Amino acid sequence: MHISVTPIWVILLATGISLHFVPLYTRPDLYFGVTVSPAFRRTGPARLLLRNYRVALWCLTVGALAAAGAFERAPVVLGVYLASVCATLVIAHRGAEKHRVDPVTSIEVDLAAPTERLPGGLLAVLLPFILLLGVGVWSVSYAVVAAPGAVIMRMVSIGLSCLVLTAIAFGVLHWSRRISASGPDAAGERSFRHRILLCLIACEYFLVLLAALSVLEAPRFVIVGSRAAFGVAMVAYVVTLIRAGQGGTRLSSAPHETVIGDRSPDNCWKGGLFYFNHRDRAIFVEKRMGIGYTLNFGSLWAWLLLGAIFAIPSGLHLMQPITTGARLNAAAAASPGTEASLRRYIDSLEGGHPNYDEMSPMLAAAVNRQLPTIMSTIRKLGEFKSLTYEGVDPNGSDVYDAMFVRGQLEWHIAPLSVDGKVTSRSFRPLR
Amino acid sequence: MILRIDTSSETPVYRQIVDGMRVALVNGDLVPGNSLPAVRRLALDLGTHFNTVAQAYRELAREGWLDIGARSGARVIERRVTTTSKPKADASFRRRIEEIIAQMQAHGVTRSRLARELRLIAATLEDT
Repeated sequence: MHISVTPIWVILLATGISLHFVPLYTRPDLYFGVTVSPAFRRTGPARLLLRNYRVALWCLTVGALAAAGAFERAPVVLGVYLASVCATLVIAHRGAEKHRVDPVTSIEVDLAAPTERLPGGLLAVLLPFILLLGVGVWSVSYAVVAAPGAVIMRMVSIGLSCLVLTAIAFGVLHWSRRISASGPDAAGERSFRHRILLCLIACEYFLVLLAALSVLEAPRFVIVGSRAAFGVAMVAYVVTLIRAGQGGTRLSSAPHETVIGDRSPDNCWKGGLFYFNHRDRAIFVEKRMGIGYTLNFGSLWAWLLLGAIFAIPSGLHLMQPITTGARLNAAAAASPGTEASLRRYIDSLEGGHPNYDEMSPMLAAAVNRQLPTIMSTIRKLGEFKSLTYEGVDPNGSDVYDAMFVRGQLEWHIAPLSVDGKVTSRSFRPLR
Repeated sequence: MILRIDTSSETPVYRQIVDGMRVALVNGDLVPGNSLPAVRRLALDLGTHFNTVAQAYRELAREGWLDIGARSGARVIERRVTTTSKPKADASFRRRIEEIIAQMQAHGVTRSRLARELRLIAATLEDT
């Protein structure tokens, strides 16, 4: 069997390693999602539960790695693996339920607690949207890109993603419960929340940076380098979050004597993983396994947020044919001169020298920037054979199918200007 | 300033909030000019309904301790204290004390222990 390192292997291994430690990164009086005495995790039954969980986890991980090597259906392997791991966590949760204790019923709140705000204020939150709008408007207005529809789609998609990240940041800040009222625990909790918010806002800026690099057609190594740097920064950030601990108590060597828990009822946690409590006004609650926050699935707002997260990619997928011109008006006649112009352009590309004199200055500049990619595509396809008119796309550009010896390209070309120049032209491979 | 409530207590949460805050206001832990947490924030942290906290704030505002603004939230204000003791207020005070004493006796606290606690409270009041 040929074994190669593919992303699925990396994902499985990383998931296995993180889930190995997840049960420990909880508040001292929580164990596998159950409220227990702070001293419980050092007892024999607790260690046995953890050992059994870890044995099952690594059996599943090794099995999934073998399955990923034998079958090529990575999503199926990953899905089955995650479902099995969840089942293992639920079994451990049920084991821990035998040792459940009731938390204290007294709740403390600091009436003079400092007001928490988003890092950088409103400006830091709005700036990514302003930058995104600026990049989008500039690239479309000044014809920096050959396919404005695709750019608009990308900007809308990133804008909506930033909006979801902002909603999550706002939710963690305003719609989550404070557990500790005073002392180092409360300060640690504030610090942890601040770090989470910083992380979310940094993700927004990174998305905008990637969009800008893509529109500006930055060299591939710059884009890959940016992604790698951001990935390393995020891993380092998560390590600092783990070390800080939620409430500064998760890795504490001297836990509290009293059982405080996380002030959410145990019976509302399904399997210790999912929180359903329609009486609780909090939309975000602390995770009982792992660090960070999870949604209160008993809240309508949580479902609306989830709906938005899933609706955005689906909506964009539905809009794609409209913006990329897949819906053509086949009955409309071609604009005069576009076919001849396109034939001359393809000929000039085959000759290795694009006919810049037939293009507007903006388009000529864009073609010049993209020339290595264009030439590489044309050379791979081989000799040009024929050109067929398909119709007019919603942007008013004529669409042609160009047949080559080893493939086919779909070209979109805008009507020629009054002086016979081409102002907009793009292509995409069909197969 | 820490506000404590007990969810297992027979006393309603709204009453616990009012009593806890009033103690802080009388003792000077909360002084005029201090801002109180927003109703939603406090309700979220206490795990109670917004209306419960809003009702507590309204009662304290009625007593003259708080000013509730539409945008600025609740703020502690200077309270005009009436120095003359009204007979109706005295009767109400005595009735509450008697109610608490009866409640404690029902929970098994002896009369002598109650008397000792009341003497301690009285001594503290006279010292301050």
